[in-house]
Amino acid sequence: MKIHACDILKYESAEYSENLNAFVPSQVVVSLVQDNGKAAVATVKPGDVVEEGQVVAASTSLNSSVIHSPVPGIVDCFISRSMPDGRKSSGIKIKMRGEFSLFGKPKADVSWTAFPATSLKRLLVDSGIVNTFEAAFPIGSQITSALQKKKSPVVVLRMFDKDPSCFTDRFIAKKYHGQVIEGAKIVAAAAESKSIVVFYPKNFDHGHDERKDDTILSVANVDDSLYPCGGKRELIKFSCAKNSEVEKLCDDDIFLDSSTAFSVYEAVVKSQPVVDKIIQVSGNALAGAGMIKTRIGVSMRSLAAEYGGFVKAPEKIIINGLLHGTNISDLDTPVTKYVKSIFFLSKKDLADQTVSDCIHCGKCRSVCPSGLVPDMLYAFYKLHRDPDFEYLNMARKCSGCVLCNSVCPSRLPLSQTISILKGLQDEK
Amino acid sequence: MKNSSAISLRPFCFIFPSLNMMTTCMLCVLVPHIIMLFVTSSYSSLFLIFCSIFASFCAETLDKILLRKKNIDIQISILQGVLIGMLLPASYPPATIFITIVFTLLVFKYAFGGIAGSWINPVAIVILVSYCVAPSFFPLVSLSAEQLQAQNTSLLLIQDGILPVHRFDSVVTDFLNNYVFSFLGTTIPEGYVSLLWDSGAAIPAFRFNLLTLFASLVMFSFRIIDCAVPLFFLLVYTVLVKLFCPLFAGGTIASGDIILSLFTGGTLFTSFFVLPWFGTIPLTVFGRVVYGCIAGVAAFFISGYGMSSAGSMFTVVFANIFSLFIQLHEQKKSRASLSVRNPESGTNKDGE
Repeated sequence: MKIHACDILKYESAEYSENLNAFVPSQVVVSLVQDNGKAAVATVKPGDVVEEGQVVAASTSLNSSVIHSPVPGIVDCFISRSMPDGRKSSGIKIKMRGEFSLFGKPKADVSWTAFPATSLKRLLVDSGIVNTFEAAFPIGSQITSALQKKKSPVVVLRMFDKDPSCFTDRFIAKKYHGQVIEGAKIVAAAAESKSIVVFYPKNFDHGHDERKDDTILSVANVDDSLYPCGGKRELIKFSCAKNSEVEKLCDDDIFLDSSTAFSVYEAVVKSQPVVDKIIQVSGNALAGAGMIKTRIGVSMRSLAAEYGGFVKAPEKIIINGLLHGTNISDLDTPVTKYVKSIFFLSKKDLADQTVSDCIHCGKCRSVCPSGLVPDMLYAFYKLHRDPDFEYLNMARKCSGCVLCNSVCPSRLPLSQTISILKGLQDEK
Repeated sequence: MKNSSAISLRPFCFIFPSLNMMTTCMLCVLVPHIIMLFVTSSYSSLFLIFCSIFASFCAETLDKILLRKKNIDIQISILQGVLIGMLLPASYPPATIFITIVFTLLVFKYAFGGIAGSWINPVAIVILVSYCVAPSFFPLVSLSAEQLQAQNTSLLLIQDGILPVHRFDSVVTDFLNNYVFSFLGTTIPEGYVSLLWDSGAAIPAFRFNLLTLFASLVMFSFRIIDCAVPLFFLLVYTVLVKLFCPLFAGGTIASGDIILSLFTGGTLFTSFFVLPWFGTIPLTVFGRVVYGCIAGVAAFFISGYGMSSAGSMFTVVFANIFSLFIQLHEQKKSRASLSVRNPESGTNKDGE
């Protein structure tokens, strides 16, 4: 059964053409966990004066990204706060003071084409770039890992969002199209890649055909009205289809979204480390909605205030999409590098999520694009029975699209159960 | 913002309504039936329905007390109670039905488990047990061969006074004939509107066919029930009745009365509320089509031309038995496809 994005979203999708620039915050909380890895170690202490763009934390691992101060100021203290991934971790509280060294300062573009691959990779690591294509990973470690598995990995660039409720990647792809393409080329150069595959959504008007100018680029149009379509598996499947116009992709290639490619461009060409993000702010609890460019470390509360504050009491704050996102409850949660969208949902927007017994409706089986049997896998897990090998092996084919969850009338945590089974299979 | 301690997992938007919403919707669309029972002073039916709801709730509570479950499915138990009450004749003794419901539902819950644990419809089983305990309370309507041989059996029954005609019938019929059916070049006789609005049956579920049809529209629109099972059930049943029913009474082929079969005997109510019950239908679309067709054939042989007080429940139970085999086949097929299926193309270096 094919599912359209409009089946999932009950409201009309918004097309934003411009983004706001958020007010400079008086203080920020910079999380020490900016990706899926371990927490970074702070390189500053309370009382230290920091400049904008100065490294304030770094990981012990060589290829993990560093964390920069998004504002000039004084390190106030270390605090523990709930973060956008739902976990609690430490953050550096910086009170803004002094002059900005990057913000508002014109800079000459850097010509990166002469840089060797290793220098480019080092630059990407030192700029603190995190790849937000799926789970947040430092781009440096991804490039290293890809080069270890494959000699010349393909760089795959997705110009739309995986989650149909988000529009950040599409917005950035449209507004900063040239910069995004150049960012992808920089990653390709860093990864010694010979080709870049760009996936555009259907009816995307970028007014320019890259194929004419560049032999390294190949382009494909994906029907993003169907879901799922933007995940790694779906793009690989698309490339492997009979009449596909692009080369065959695999798991070992480097997958980027337009947000990451844009960050790469800003870091290498404009010499600006990751200190700000363009994110989507929306939800019926807010007075307004739109795209906003904001500093890392700004609280959700401040972002809500940028759009006129709350018109209804927010019941839930959803980070990174209504399908794949995380629910947080603290309005003082700071923005991190992996935040791409924030939804402030009122009580009226909340769907009934009461978990009941399975009613054997079969909807999860009919929608699963991988042909799995989620209800049986859930039953095995719930009854604490060891699943048969075929079913356990089946769990590995799950792409994590959460369609099974979204069609289940009993609101069973099918996708989460399958993830647990995947983990069990990996352990075995 | 209140600091909610409840953790909710993704996703935060859904395609289909929740089970709570489904049962609430089903209860809401049954409310007009209850109101109509009140308006038509059918107090004994109303009392039976409330007895059934209470009995169902007691069974659910006893099940919880016996530590089978942590939570009570209040809405499901109310829905079951309403459906049972509506499928019982008005004259059925309340005390008998109370004991029957508590005992039967408790056995079912113990034997099969939760909401969709049973492959056989508990509502249908309760009605059948009630029928076996006291069959005299279920009205029996016999038709003569001449009546069945007639082209329009329902009209004959209306003219003979077996099916009631309400006072407003002539006014509404004239209006429809003058302003609606005249464009189609046809007319409807007096009595059909009464059959649609209130057939006067002793069993509440068999009476208000128009309300049942509206309820089905609401349920289909909000995706509360799947349309495959009722659709194919009604299609197969009406085609068989149209083609072959009169043959059994010495009539001619293709002269059966569809109106009688659809609007009496609770055919519509059973197809929308009882037949697609949770857990009793196959999981695949093809399986449901087959299930609906089997139910239609079963209804033809069991209920025949209609007007059967318990025939529809026998049909449901018969179809449920077949549904079990269909579901087993589906399970076997899905297991077999897992063994055969190769990994997707687009593999990593390990060939996974």
